[in-house]
Parts: sequence; structure tokens; C-alpha cells
Amino acid sequence: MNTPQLRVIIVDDEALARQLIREYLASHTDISVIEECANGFEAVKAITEIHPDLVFLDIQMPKLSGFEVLELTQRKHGVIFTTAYDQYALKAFEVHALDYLLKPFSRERFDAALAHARQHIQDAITWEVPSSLTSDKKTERILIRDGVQVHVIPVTQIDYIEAQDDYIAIYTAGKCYLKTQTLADIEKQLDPSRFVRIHRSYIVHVERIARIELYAKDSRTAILRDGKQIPISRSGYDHIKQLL
Amino acid sequence: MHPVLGNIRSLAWYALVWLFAGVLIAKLIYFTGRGDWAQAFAFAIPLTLVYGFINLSAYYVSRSSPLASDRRLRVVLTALFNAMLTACFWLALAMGWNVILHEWQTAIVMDTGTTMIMIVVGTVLYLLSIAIYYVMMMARQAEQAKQNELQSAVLSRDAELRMLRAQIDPHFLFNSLNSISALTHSDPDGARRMTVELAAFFRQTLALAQKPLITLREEWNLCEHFLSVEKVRFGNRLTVEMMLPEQLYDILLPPMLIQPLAENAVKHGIAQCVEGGTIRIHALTDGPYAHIVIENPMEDESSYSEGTHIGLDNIRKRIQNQYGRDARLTTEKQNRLFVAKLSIPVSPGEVSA
Repeated sequence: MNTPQLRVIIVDDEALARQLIREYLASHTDISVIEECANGFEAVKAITEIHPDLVFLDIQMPKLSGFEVLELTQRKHGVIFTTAYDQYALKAFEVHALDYLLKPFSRERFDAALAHARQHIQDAITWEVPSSLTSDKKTERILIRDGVQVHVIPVTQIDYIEAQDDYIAIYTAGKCYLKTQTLADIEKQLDPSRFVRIHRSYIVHVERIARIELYAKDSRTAILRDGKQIPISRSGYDHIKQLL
Repeated sequence: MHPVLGNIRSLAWYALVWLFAGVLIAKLIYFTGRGDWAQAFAFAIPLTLVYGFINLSAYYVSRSSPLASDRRLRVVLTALFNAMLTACFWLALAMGWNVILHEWQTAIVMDTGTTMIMIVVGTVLYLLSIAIYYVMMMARQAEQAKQNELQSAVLSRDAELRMLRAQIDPHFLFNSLNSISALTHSDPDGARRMTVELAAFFRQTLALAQKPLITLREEWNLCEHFLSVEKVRFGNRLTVEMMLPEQLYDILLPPMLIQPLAENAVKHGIAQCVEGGTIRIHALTDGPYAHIVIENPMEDESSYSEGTHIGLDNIRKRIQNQYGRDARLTTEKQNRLFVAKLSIPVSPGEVSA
């Protein structure tokens, strides 16, 4: 009887590291490596187009990190991280990784990870990570998928973010990017000492504010460096007062 | 702790010195005709020994008003006041003692001359004691300062070494070992070569970090080992061009100033570029300066944001320690190229013709 084939992709920017995983996989006849990716962009494309059963994913890569690849593809199953860095183990747990292989790893350790993966490959494991354990490191860049293209926006370039129906509009130096996300959600990802929710529909980059003008009692407007005017709600004014 | 009362030996020497002073005073009494030998000795010896004991207090006077340039007058006045007060007290003792001796028929002649001499001698002796204590205190302070200096030198050297060791990214080792692990199957000879390079790099790092200064050639060598390990890891994504003119071989500089820059060039440059690129390192002289320039491609602005500053600041601190304001490390980004330039002063003898 034929066992069903597991379709695997290997994502690592180092050819030798990919070669090693390929070698370890060679003795497993139920595995077929259908793609190798040398950077995050290729990985995003491969994951969305061919939906592999299992992904061996490096973390530190050019263009996009392994975590950013998962964020962009919304993949929550069938991922094994392979990295030389041990400090991401907790974060890997948060994004539902099946395993975390620390380079260099032995064949035995690799086989154990693979055996574990075979059992759980279809489970989108949804465990709750206690909030005390979640890393509170704030994001340094925002990723936006636009068809096959991926925009990477460093948060330092953001002027302000506006909520629009189901998505948010991110304004940077005259450009505007749309992303499907709620304003409350992105607010959590941003550094509160730099980004302030000044209104139900607006988050603004504090450094971009040129001045704040009072129009009527309890009605203020933030004037940005480029002249753009953004309303400030009463609670929003309380937030920003604490920062300035 | 009192320097004299501290131990028996110094106390014995101290008593001996005062005994000698007592003999001198007895002679003075005898030769000025104020008494015969027996009277002079009976009067002078016990009194001087007692005075010696009293003079131990001079230590506390000198300690309570330490020598400081802004309080010179105060120090002098305090010493003089205390000395005269003690001398008067001593005179009173002497008169009392003379009365007792009078009972035993061994009193000396206690006239105005005697009292004047006693006040002057007592004051001078006390002042002398204070002066000696000051000298002792200064000597002790100098000793302490020397000790402190030595200790801080040892500490800073220690800190520097620890910092140098911490500077090498351990992930460099883990990633290299992973490459070796991959090569053992497909290219055993390559695996062996890489092992040897890796060992050479770490051995050199340990040896060089111990020295305060190394030659530019040695540092160059270290970078070559480091980059050839990284070349195996990154394959054709990394090319290296290094150029060191022969006349700059013997320039001396603190160890591990350039290697961290090469490491940055890989970690924040090559590793972030999909296509990879070339790391160029070259050195040149320009008058009294040597410049070492490290260039690498970079993907975008953000890749150089975090992590690099600590490494660069470390180098800046170290060259400032070594050269003061004469050395500098500058970085610039031009058109997807990151350029770090290290400039250090060289003495004419270091650059061979």
C-alpha cells in the first residue's frame, strides 16, 4: 500500500543548510521536496501557490524573516523552524510551530521532529499562549501584501494610520497602503511611545506632529509636518498629553 | 589606626628617639649651668618621655585637618595653636615635677630663660611631630593611589578582554558548524578545510586578544580567516576583495578593530541581500594617518538600524582609549553601499618605505 506523499518545501538562505535538510529527508520515502526557497519572498509565493504540507523555515533571511512569512501567508500549521538563534523559541510557540530545530542539529533530532510533524501535520493547533509569556517587543516594520508583491514599510516611515471600514490605510511620505487589519490590532503592534491613538479612526506618529491647534472647547486638531490635519478626540488628547 | 601605637616595634623605636631627645635636653641644662648631671637627667628624661607620649596626639591633629591647597592657612594655624597649647601644658608639668624634685634636692634652676626655652622646644617638637605625621600620611596616600591605579588598570584590561570575547557573535559558530555538518556528506574535504579555517580563526582571536597591540597584518589575517569561513557558508553570494599594501604590514593597532567591521558587513550586508555581493576591505596611508575602508552592499536603510550601533560604539570607545581624538570611525550609506572607514594615526617608523 502506498503511503500518501508529504509535500515539503525548504526555506533557508544558505544553500548548504538546505542541502543538509534535503540529505536528512532523503531516507524518508514518504517525503517529496517540491520546492527550495532562498528568501522570504520566494517562501511567501511558494506557500500561497502550492500549499505544502510541511515547511522547514529559517528565521533570519534577507527581505522577510520566517515570522514575517507566516504573518503574510497566515499559515498556522505544518511549520518547523530551523535556526541558529535560540531566542525565538517562545515566539515560534506563539505562531504554532510544530518544532524548533537549533542549528546544527543531529539526524536523530531531525527525525524526531519529522515524526512529530507526521502526526500533527493537519492540525492547526490553536493553543492559547498566556499573555505573561507573549513577547512584548514592538514591530519594526509593517508588511503589506499586494497581489504577488510584498511591501515592507519600516515603522519610522509611517506618518499616520487611518481606519477605513474593514481595513486600515497606512500613510508614508505621500504614499498610501491599504491593509486588512483593524486599527486596534495594529495599535498593539506599535510602540506606544511613538504611535498614539488620537482618535477612534486615527493613529499618528508622534514625531510627525508639527503642532496642535485648539478650535473650540474640547475640539483640537493635530497639524502634521506636511500640513495634513487630523482630528483629536477628547480621550485622544489625554493620550497625547502624556507623551508631549 | 595610629601608626606608632599600632605595633610594639615602632613604639620601642619611638621611645628611643624621645629618650635621645631627653639626653640632649639634659645636656642643655647642664651646659647652661642650671643644674649638675644628676639634676639635669632627673628633670629631663621623665619629662621628655611623657612629652613623647603626649606628642602621639599630634597624629590626630594632622588627621583632623588634612593637607589641602585651599586650606593652607588653616592647617598652619591649627598646628601652631595645638603645638603651643601642648608646650604650655608640658611647661606646667615640668614646673610641678621640679617642685617634687625640690623635695629630693635634685631640682634644677627654673628661671625665665628655662621657661622660654621649654616653650620654644616644646612647640618645635610638637610641630615636628605633626609634620612627620603629615609626611607619613602622604606616603600612605601615594601608596594607596598607586595600588588603586594598578587595580583599575587590571580591571579595565579585564573588561576589555571580556568585551572582545563577547564581541564575536556565537551564531557565527553555530551557523558554521551547520555548514560543516552539511559538507561532511557531500564534500568531506570541504568540511575539513572549513573546520581548519574555523579553528585558525578562533585560535588567532584568543591569542591576539591578549595583546595590547598587534600588527595590521595580523588583524588582516584574522579577517581573512573569518571571511573564508563565511564564504563557505554563503557560497557564491559572497565575494571578498582584500588589499593591504606591503608597506602597511607593520602598523600597530589594538586587536579586533577591523574584524567586527567585517562581521557587520556579512551580518547586516551580505546576509540581508538576496543576490549577495562583494565585501571590499583595503588600507591606505595619507600623511600621518592610516585609513582602513570596509565596503559592503546593503539591501535597504532598515537593515542597518539595529544591532550595528553597539558594535560601532564599542570600536569608537576603544580607539578613543588608545588614540584620543586622533582616531575616528565614520560610516556612510551611499547608493545601497555601506562604507565604514577607520582612521588611525601612524608614526613615521611604522610605515616601511
